[in-house]
This record gives sequence, structure tokens and C-alpha cells, in this order.
Amino acid sequence: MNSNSKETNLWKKFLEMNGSGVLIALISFIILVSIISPHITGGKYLTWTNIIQVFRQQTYIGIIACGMTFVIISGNIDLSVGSQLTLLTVLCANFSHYGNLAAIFGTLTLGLVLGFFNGLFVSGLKLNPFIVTLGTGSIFGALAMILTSGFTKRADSTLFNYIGTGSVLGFIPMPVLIMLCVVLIFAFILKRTVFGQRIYAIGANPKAARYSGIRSRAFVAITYILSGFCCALAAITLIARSTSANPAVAGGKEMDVILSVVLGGTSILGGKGSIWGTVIGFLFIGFMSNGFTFLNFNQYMQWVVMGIILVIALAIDVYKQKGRV
Amino acid sequence: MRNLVTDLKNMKIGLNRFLLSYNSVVILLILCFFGTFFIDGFNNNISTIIFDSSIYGFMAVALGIIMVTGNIDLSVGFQAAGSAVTTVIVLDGTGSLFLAVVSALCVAVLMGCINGFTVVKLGISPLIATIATNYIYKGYVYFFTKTGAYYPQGELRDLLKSSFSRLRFFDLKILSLTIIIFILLIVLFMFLMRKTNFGNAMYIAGDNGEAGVLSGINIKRVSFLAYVIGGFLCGIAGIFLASNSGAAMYTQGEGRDIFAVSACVIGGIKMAGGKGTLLNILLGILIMRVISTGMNLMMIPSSWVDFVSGVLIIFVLVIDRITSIKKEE
Repeated sequence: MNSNSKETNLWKKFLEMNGSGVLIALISFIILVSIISPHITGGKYLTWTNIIQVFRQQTYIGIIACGMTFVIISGNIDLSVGSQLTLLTVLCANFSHYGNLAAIFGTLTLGLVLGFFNGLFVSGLKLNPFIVTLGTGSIFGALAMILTSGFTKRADSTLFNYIGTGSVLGFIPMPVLIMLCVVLIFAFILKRTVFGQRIYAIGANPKAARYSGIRSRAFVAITYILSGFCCALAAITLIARSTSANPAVAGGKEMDVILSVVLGGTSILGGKGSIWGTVIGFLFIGFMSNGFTFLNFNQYMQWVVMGIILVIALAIDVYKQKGRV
Repeated sequence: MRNLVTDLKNMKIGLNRFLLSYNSVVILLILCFFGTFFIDGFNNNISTIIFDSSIYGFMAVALGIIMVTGNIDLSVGFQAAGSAVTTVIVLDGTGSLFLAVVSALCVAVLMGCINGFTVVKLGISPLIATIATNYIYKGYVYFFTKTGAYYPQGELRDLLKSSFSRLRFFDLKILSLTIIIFILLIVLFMFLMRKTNFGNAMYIAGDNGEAGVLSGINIKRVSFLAYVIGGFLCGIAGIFLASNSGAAMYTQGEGRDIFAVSACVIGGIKMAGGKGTLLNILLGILIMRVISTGMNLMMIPSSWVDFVSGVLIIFVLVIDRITSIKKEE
């Protein structure tokens, strides 16, 4: 009897955790596909290579989503990440002709600069984050197009090849390792540092945060700079994988990023969320599109089913929050 | 705009305040001045600008109406494309133009209802909800068009082409059916939003929803209806888009949401809702079209148009910020 109530407690705790509903959906989806797919296409779904493949595909979405989690928890939004990623991959390809170090440090610095611009507009001038980042996104995307005149740019570098195709211990690819590092570091910053806790405070109640002496404008600016930094890291891994920069590579990817964050239970209104939830969110999107390919779904079916599943998952999340209050 | 007339009549407005308060009028005048004197062929293209403005304007007005109630809709582009696809398939299947138009409008209104349902009834944040529903509409369009276009067969294509967009009175482009219907609808909705209880309720829903609920207004129904109206307008846009190119294309939906948001923002609609008029959105649309047509005529690559519109959005927001600080003082 005693152990039983303990179990229900654990279960309740699990349900209250961010993104638990999506995690259940993810696991049941994986089980379902791995049962069905051998009958339809004959492919084995749940293999190590395939799982690594999903991680690999989601690397750059995952890295950007970590930065985006900070921005959304502080109560803002960044719609320019897709264009930032595009511009930074183009710049990274340009820099790569001057050597590896120039490419990596140049890209990371410019990522910080792009993030700084967003931060300046949103927290310095107090403009509406949604519209401003839409505007800067349009500017960054246009710059990428102008720099390349619409053609794909090649990058050449040996280190890049190592980052893109090398692996650690023989089975963890480098890009995935980079993503895992980013996830762990960001989760640590968010949960265990004063900075992270203040981000929550700002998102939950900006006025109260200001009255209690938190320099919210500086902190909000820093979240945008972090988001820019993540875009730069993602750009490097992306260039490393494909060794060329296509100015149309990341059009609309900001939607995937935002959905990953929100699916993980991070409130779009700010003040609530976790990196752990974001990880579940981007894995969910990754496993879903991978699974659809295994089931031989067409692109249109993928989009329709994905849209419907997203609406259901979000509605459950809203329902859960209502029940708690 | 009505304030502009009274302000000017009473001469109570200084030049500085005038520039700040009516910045969209000023920007449009400057752009037109520049275009007329420095760009070859600008004057001959004015009717084209107005024609394009009205086709894309339907979507911007749809978004504007939704934004007034304090929500947002990032799926306007693919709602229009969905209606365009429906027009073409039904026309192709039945050969009846009437059925095609009716079913296109029905599908568009249904899409608006789905948006309204997810946002208002399910309570999902409008930004996220319409990103999610956008995937559904995108899938629907992609099913028929793939990455290319879906054409109706032979004569039906000519019928579609000659029925709506190319229909003109007195053979004048300025008197195209598109422009006339657009203006009629603008006037209708301006009346609706200014003079009726429903329009009043829309502004209250965006401005202060709680106060609206307390004073007995059904805010949820108003927000829902705004999405339905938005869907209807996108449906009309889709029919004209299909008729203009004689086909349904995937690209008809792509990137239109950004255009619509830009037009609304430049026209002075606030993200928080409760502010802005349709006439101002009209100015926003015209500004966007004048810029892209003008740059096109000057042979500047189209990516610069995105660049300039991005700069313009931020510029308008900064000016708006400065005016609101001045008002507070």
C-alpha cells in the first residue's frame, strides 16, 4: 500500500514535469513506428544508426533551441534565428578560406554581434520583440542573399571535415557531442546560476523583477546575445556537415525551433520552462519526421499530420496548466 | 486619418508632431515623389502598384482585422494559397466557375474557423497555434501543387484567367475587378469597425479584454469571428491569385505572412491590439508595393527589397517609440 502511493506520487510528479505529455507521445510514437514500419517498408526503425541519424539531423535545431529557450523564458521571442543561421553559414564559408581558427572565431564573434543587435532593439529601445526580430530576420536573410548572389558557397577546411564526420569513442558523432555539451552547459546555467534564476524572474513578472533590483534590460540583451552565439555554433556544425553554404538553407527554420521549445512545456508568455523540455521537443520533431519517412509518408502528409499532432500537444499543455491553477 | 483632417483644419499641429504622428503618410509621399522624378517608368506603373496592392492587400487587411482583436495569424499566406488550390481543382473537376468560387470561399472560411477554434476555444497562444495550423494548410497546398504549379486543363485555364483578375471596366487597369472589390470590401469593413457594435467590441477585445468581459461583451466570439473574417478575405485573395496566374502555385503562399505583418506594422497596427485603422493598413500596403516596384524598375536585386523592408519596419517602430515617449511627457 505504502509503495503504491509512492508510485502514484512519482507518477504525479512526472506528469507535472515540463514536456512529460510530449515525452509520452514521443515514446508511444517510436514504439508504434517500430512495430508498423517492418510491415510497410521493411526498414528497421529502432536501430543505433537511425537514432544517431535523428540526432545528427536535429543538431543545429537543438543548439539554436537551447538559446531560444532562454529568450522565451525571459518573456521575449526571436524570429530571426533562421536568417541568422543562414547569414552565419554564408560568413563561415567565406572565413574558412582564411583558415580554421579564423572561421570558428569569426563566426562566433559575428554571432554575438547579430545577437547584440537584436538585444539592442528589444531591450535597449524597448521595441516589440516579435516585430523587431521579424524585421532583423528580413535584413539578415537579405544580407545572406546579397553576399552570395543566391548561389551556394563552398567552404574548404580539414578541421571542418573532422567536426562534420569525425566521432568520439567511435560511435558518438562530433556534431552530436557539441550539441550535448551545449545542452548540458545551458541547462546548468539556467538551473544552477543566479543568471538563470533571474531570467525566470524577469519572464514571470518583469515589473516585480525590476523593483527587486534585477537589471532586466541587461539580462534580456544577454539572452539575445546567447541566442546569436548558439546560431553561430549551429552554423559551424552545419557547414562542417555539408561543407557548403546555401543561402536558402534555413528559411523558416525558426518555426521548428520555436515549436521545439514550446512543445517542451516552455510557456510562450515567459517565466516557465526548461532545457530538458526543449530537448524532448526537438527530439519529438526529429523522430516524427524521421518516422514519417520510414512509413513512406509524403511531404504533404508529414506536414498535415505534424500540424494536427502539434495542435493536440499544445492543447493538452494548455489544459494541464488550467487544471493546476 | 480622420484626426489628420481635423488636426489640419484647426492648425493645432506643429510640423514635428505632424511628421511623427502621420509617418506613414509622409513616407508614402516621399517615396512617390522620389519615384516620379528619379525612376523611369514609375508613372506608367502606378496602376500596377495599385493592382498588386489590392491582391496582396486582402491578406494584409485580414491580418489587420485579427491583430486589432489582439491576436495574430501567421497562416494568411497559405490560407490564400489553399483557397487558390481549391478554386483550381474544383474548376478542373466540375468545369463550373461558380462552384469553384463557392468551394474556395468555404474552404477559406473553414481554415479561419480552425484558426479561431485553436486560438479561442483551445486557448493556445495565437502565434504558436497559427504556426501549427500553417503546417496543415501548407500540406494541403503541397498535396496538389508539389513544388510547382497545378493548372486547369485547356479552355478552363483561359476561363479562369479572363474571369477575375483580368476583368476590367472600360479597358482601364485601374478599374480592374480586383481593385473595385478590394475598395468595396475596405469601405465595408471600415464601416463595420467604426460604426457598429461589433467593430467596437473588436477594439475593446484588443485593448482591454477583461474590461470587455466585465461589461458584458462576448470577447471570445468577437475574436473567433475576426479569424473567420480573416479566412474569408484570404479566400478572396486566393481566387484572385489563382485567376491572375491561371494556376495554383506553392509559392503563392510562401512569405506572404511576412509581407502582411510588415504592411500592418508600417500602417501602425500595434501587436498588443486595440489600435489602428484599415486606412492606415492601406498606406502600409502601398508603401511596401511602391518600394518593391520601384526597386524592381531600378533593376535592384529583389533581396535588397527584403533588406529595405526590414529596415523600414525597425524605423517605424523606433519612431513609434519616440512618439509614445513624447506623449507620456
